[in-house]
Amino acid sequence: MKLIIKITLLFVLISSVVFLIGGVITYEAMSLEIEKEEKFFLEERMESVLRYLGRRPAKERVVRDKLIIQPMDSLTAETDVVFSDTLVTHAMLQRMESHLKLDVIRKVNGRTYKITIYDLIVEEDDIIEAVRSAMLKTFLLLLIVSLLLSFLASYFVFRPFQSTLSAIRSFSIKSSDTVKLPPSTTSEFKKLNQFADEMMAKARNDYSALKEFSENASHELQTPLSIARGKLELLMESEGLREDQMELISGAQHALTRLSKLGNSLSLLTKIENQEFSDFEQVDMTALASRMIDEFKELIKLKEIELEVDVSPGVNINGNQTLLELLIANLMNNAIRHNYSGGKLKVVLENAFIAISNTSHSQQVNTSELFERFKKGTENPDSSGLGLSIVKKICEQHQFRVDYSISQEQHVLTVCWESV
Amino acid sequence: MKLLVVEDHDQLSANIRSYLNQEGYVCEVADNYQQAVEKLYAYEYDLVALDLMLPDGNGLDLLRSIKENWPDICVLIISAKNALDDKLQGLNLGADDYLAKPFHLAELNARLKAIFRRKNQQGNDGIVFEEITLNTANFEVKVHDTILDLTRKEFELFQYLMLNQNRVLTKQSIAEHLWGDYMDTADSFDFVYQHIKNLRKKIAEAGGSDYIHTVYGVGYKFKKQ
Repeated sequence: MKLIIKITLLFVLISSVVFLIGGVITYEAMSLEIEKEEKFFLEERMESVLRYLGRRPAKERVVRDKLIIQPMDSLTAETDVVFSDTLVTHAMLQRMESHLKLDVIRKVNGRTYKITIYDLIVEEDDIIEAVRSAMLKTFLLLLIVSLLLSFLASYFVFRPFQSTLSAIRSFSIKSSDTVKLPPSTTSEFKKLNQFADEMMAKARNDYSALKEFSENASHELQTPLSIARGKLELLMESEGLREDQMELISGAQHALTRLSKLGNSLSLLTKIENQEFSDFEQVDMTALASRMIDEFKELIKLKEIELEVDVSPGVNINGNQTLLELLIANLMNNAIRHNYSGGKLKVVLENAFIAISNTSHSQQVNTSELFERFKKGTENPDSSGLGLSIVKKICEQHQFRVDYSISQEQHVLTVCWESV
Repeated sequence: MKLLVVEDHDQLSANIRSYLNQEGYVCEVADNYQQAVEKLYAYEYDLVALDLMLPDGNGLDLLRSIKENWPDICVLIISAKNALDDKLQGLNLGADDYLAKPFHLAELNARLKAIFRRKNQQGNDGIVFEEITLNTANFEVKVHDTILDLTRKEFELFQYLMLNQNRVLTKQSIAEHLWGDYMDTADSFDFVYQHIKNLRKKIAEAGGSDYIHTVYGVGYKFKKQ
């Protein structure tokens, strides 16, 4: 629910309470005023009756419309005006209606009269009816006007907020363009903009520091390895080395190569984690898969593995070219590494997934362990144990699903890009 | 051939210099940006091997300046950053090749020679060794005028051997040259062996001598009997 609607509803709720109380107050005020006016009106009529009696004294009881004049004993004392309620049959409506009655005993030119005047009063129901309808109409008007105005106001008041939101949405941690947040006169939005500015700057700083660190770490690791390997290469060139000495040197070089590959794989994982490969584009998977299969054909042949390829034409997905290449290379490498001479390797590319299956001497592997770093089978002490971790990272980055299953002695790794 | 190595790790540049001196290069070393610029102004070089991370500047800036002032000098980038951006940017700026650290010195040697040959192409793309001629332009190897029927990988392997004559080439170095990073080291040695076996057979069938010597447990060496 939009903030402005919430605020408006709250406002309407409060005003409905105010309107209820206001209705009661209005009712009280109205009935008080009406009663006062009626008493005043009856008193005025009494005065005019008295004037009339002064000119033409009444000798006997006079009953007129809403007026009774009763001549009294001259000894009867004068009284104050007394108001009371009474019920009188209404002439036109033919039913009892409550009236306000005025009773008084006065002497006019030596004669004493008891005068009774009454009139129809505005009933309680009628006042309530009137107040209710007036309040309801006003309330409805308020509701409509406040809703309309709040929508209109929200457009103007919340405009800086909306543009801040869209600026934050388009924020990229890697680009160096400064994000321009629109100025606002609202103090809350000013605070928000300031906060967002600081957050973005900090995120960028942290990101570039991290990126620089992993690059430098890789550099600092690879340089000494490079030096050591070069020295060994030079050593190998020296005259008069025995074969066993050569073999020692070669062994040392081999270990150094593994170390440097390990460093590269770890820094690749860090780079994927740092989202350094976020340029996504349409990638022709059919072409990419065919190309990668060609790259590996020779190795597959050399290892005497039977290759079966089923690549659907025209498979395009949104992703990073470099990472997708690495993904297939790692899957292929994995399928070849754990295969045996005379085994099988099958690559299936469909619109929604790629599945690479291979025969292997290894038994069923625990799926959760499969993608962990440095988990490796017993057969290949030389493998880094990072290949499938890289596969998993790439899948996470692309929001692909990767599954492992075993069927008919075939280990199958499936990467799905469309949720089926 | 005169080569300037711009590299701040003196041990690394010493390795390169000592390896390449044997190949007949005149090899000089600059260990920072400033020194490299001074040397470039003072002497003439055919080739610069350039590290991108220098203590007093960015190698890419130096590359830009070389391509502006000395467009004839070839540049080989050596970098441990292995960042794709740097590689693409470097090649776009006119670098001739890119080599990621750590590398085999034999690989560096082969790359430098390849750059050099591309630069000095004057109708002669061949490397001649006794009765064998290797033509880099049309990927042909002739033994006594018989053209060998080689696969692409066999050609690359033979070229690598010929470019690094009289040197021990380890199986790792050969495997990395042929397959790059895709190859799994455990399998690759068998593959290198099979390729060498095929190559020897094809050369022998054409009547060539076997110049590929096995260095037991280590690798191979291409040299005269």
